[in-house]
Amino acid sequence: MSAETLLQLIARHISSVREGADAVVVHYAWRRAGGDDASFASGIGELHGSQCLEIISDSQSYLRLTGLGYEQLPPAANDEDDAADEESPRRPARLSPVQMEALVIDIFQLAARAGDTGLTATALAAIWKIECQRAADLRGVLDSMLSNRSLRVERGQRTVFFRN
Amino acid sequence: MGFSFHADADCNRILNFINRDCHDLIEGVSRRLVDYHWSLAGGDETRLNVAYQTLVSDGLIVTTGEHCRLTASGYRVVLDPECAEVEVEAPIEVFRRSGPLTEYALRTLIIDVLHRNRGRSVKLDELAEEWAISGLRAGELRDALDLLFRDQLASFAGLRRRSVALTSDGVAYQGGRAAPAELVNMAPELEAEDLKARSVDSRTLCLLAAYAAGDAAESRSVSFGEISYRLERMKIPGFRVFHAIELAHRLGHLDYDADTRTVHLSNSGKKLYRAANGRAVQWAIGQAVLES
Repeated sequence: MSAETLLQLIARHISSVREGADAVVVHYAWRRAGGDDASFASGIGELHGSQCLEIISDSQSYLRLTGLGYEQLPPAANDEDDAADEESPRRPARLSPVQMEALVIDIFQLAARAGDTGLTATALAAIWKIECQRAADLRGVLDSMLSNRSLRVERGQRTVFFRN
Repeated sequence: MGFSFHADADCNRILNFINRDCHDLIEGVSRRLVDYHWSLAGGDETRLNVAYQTLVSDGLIVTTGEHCRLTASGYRVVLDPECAEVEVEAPIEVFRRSGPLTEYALRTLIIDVLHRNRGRSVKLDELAEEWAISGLRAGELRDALDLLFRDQLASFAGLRRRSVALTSDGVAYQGGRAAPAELVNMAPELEAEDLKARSVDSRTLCLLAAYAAGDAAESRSVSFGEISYRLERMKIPGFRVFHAIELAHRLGHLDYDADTRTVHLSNSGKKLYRAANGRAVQWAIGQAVLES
């Protein structure tokens, strides 16, 4: 797993162009692709050091490619068509409610390692998408965790969830 | 609220859509999604194409097949820290929720989304992106699709059945007349179990509405409420009753006089009424009453 792979993961998980990618989402995608935490930190350091990456820290940390970083990206692949769809991987099995709750807790632990106390609804939805799970199920597990008070939510410009 | 990326208002609007809608810098953003956003903002297609060409000739975007991607210069423009926040014309709100969600509201919205793709089939993931703009939830998109499939207004398309397209009934529905407020107020609340009901085509439902309207209209003037009452007496479920009446009005079989608040059969409605006798209507009732 190289810094180049990390650069591409950041590019593929942006919230918006100006905002960049939520660091928790990129970290999760990195782990999912087989990378470990140490190589993630060193990759971020390398990209930042070579001025390919900006780290924007507010209440959540965002990673944004600089113009130089953007120039390092590979060209886009050809548009997929239905024939290409035939080769796409099979959708993973739907998680059970217990597995879903465990996944949400795991994501919060990942965020805590980065120093983020809360998680935006957008970041949770992005990780849910990485896991190919249904958005309606995420809503269900969040509703359940809010009602049993293991989570609380703050709604403002962004919807942010916190663990109690 | 958006950003001032470009002196030309149309180009600026597109760059704002790209900034907001692009979630993958490598693939870029689906042109269809930008076009959809553009259509919601009320822009015409000619101006859209001119703006695309300007952005390409300015070296700010490149188009690759169905996607457009920022060039390195375009990316720097969008990231410009000096870039002022400005009011940009926002896309119209497709859906405004007031009270419980109805089948009618959901149907109107999903048909609008599909129609804005100019009658082409739409991949499910693209549909989800466009749906997100409506402010409704992903689960409600599934309900909307179940609704269209039940009423035979849309069907799956493509080798892997990962696209959705309006059927000829769906196209006719989209091109029909909007329901008057008096009828919209009668729309029943969406019930999940109704979405699993047996699929019935538009003609059968129109036949029933014409039958109920025509039978009553022989002796007195009729209202939407009375047609609804007559259909319910045939044991037709409430969701189907409303859809039958709305469909018959939309397709021009029922005319509504807003001054007298009465409903009349049009010439095509009278033809349907004449066809709706004996075994034909019994068959239609059977279709509409049967559950899945």
